[in-house]
Amino acid sequence: MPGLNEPSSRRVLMQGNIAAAEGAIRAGCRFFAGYPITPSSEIMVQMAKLLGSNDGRFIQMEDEIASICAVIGASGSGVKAMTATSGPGFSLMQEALGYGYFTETPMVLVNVQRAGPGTGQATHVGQGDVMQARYGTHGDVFPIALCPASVQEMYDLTIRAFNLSERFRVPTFVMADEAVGHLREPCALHGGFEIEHRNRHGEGAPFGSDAPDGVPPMPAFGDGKKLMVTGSTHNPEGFRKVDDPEIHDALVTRLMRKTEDHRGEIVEVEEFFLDDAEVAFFAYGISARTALAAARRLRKMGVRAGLLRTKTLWPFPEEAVAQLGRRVRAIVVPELNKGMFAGVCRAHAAAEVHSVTQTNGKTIEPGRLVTFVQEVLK
Amino acid sequence: MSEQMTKSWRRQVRIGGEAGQGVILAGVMLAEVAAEDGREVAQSARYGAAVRGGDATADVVMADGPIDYPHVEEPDILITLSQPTYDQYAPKQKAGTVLLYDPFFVVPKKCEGVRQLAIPATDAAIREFGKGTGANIVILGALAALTGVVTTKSLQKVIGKNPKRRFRENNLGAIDIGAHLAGQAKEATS
Repeated sequence: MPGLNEPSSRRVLMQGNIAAAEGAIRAGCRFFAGYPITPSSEIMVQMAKLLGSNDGRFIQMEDEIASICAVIGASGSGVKAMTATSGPGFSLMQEALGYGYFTETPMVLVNVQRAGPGTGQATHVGQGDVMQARYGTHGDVFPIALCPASVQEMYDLTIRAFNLSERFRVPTFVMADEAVGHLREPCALHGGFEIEHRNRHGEGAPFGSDAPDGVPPMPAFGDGKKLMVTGSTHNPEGFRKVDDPEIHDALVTRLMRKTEDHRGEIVEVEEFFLDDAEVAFFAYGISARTALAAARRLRKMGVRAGLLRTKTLWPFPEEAVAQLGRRVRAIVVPELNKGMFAGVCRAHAAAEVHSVTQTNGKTIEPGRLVTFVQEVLK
Repeated sequence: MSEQMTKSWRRQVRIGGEAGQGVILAGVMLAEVAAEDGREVAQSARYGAAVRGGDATADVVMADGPIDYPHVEEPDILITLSQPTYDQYAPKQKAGTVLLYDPFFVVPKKCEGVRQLAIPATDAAIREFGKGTGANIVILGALAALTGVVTTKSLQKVIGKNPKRRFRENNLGAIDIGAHLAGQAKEATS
């Protein structure tokens, strides 16, 4: 397997979770704190190995709350930092994720989703955390969440998550699922990426920006600047301002604009057979691979089916879905939850939206979608 | 993911057994062998949360083009090393497919149109190595010799990459035993 200093376009059979760890190192991650949980643990084990040989720091914490807090602290010291978990751990991390969001701390969290709620089925697949990624912590937050559908994308999108997180100073999630995390496929650990770094030494206050992108510079602890960091409302210099209505509104609004005004830069979708489609799947993660197989089979049967696949869960690909709604008669949303994204899709698409859900810890087989579409078109 | 529309060679292999028999490892190795043969490949597994015991299943999809859905829908080849996984999967096997089972653990039943072959891999592993571990490699050797979904040459090459000499030698021996058993395999008549 190629080492850190030799990116390779040669494809090597690799597990998705391992590819995510390799991507993190390639993106410049040098700190990992975590607590093991199936089906994400391989990421942690691989990070322990890779950080040891790449001048990084790895620490197994006592739980997920401590893990995410350690990640926030590491990022504050100027290091690219990450953790990996699954649903139950993601729940424990929500409070600190809100703190990380409000303090504009770049960090990456890989959630390898399993069948929930509760401890659910640890070894089986689910996609039930996609709304939690958006609304899990309290208050108005606008995090970024990406969604890989292959081992290659576990690598590519982990790198992209670091880039977006550094670029916008916002916690960024890689919302993988057990099926993709545990899948083994050929993957190229290529080096064809620009790597983003936060603006650490720029002019201006660390928590306020007049720049159009709304992203302030982020000095690290020890860089010589007076640095105050608080999860309470603060002015651009970082002073607590918990009674000033204008400052609170301005802060919440600027944080929203960092992601909402940059949808074009963040959102990535992929189209398959949509040119003349009368029915289309809208899908993400492992379910998008079911949908692509189904669309291909339907095409062979003479049905004009297509697929809009999103690599970005949040911000939601509103434009692409609205446009899809104008192009097709019906949209079918397959997902491993009780219809979470079908609901979001309905809010943005004018076409009829059908939800195909499956919550038995298994991926949806293409045949089920083929039959479903045939029924819809009757 | 690509829009390419070619219909081409594609095989789905499922290996079932009890956790601890090395079925997941066999699946991973089979995937590596298929990749060595130049195939596109997707390997996955299904197992419970228990530390040991329980059913374990490894799936390998191999093709000469992109693999959309990476899990096995209908196995072209089913291998079972335990009665529970045989009972679970064998009745669903489609006519014209191949089923390899280890008679040390499995009593076969009637499976209409399925070519069921007994590969006494565990017996052979006990005789050769003094214990049943290694049966997973024996059965991979039999699989390659009987079906050709992967080449014996690539199987040997992948096994040969193991840095531990004793494992390497035993496992290369296990492939030969598997190929030998494949030559003698009898179809289940019941």
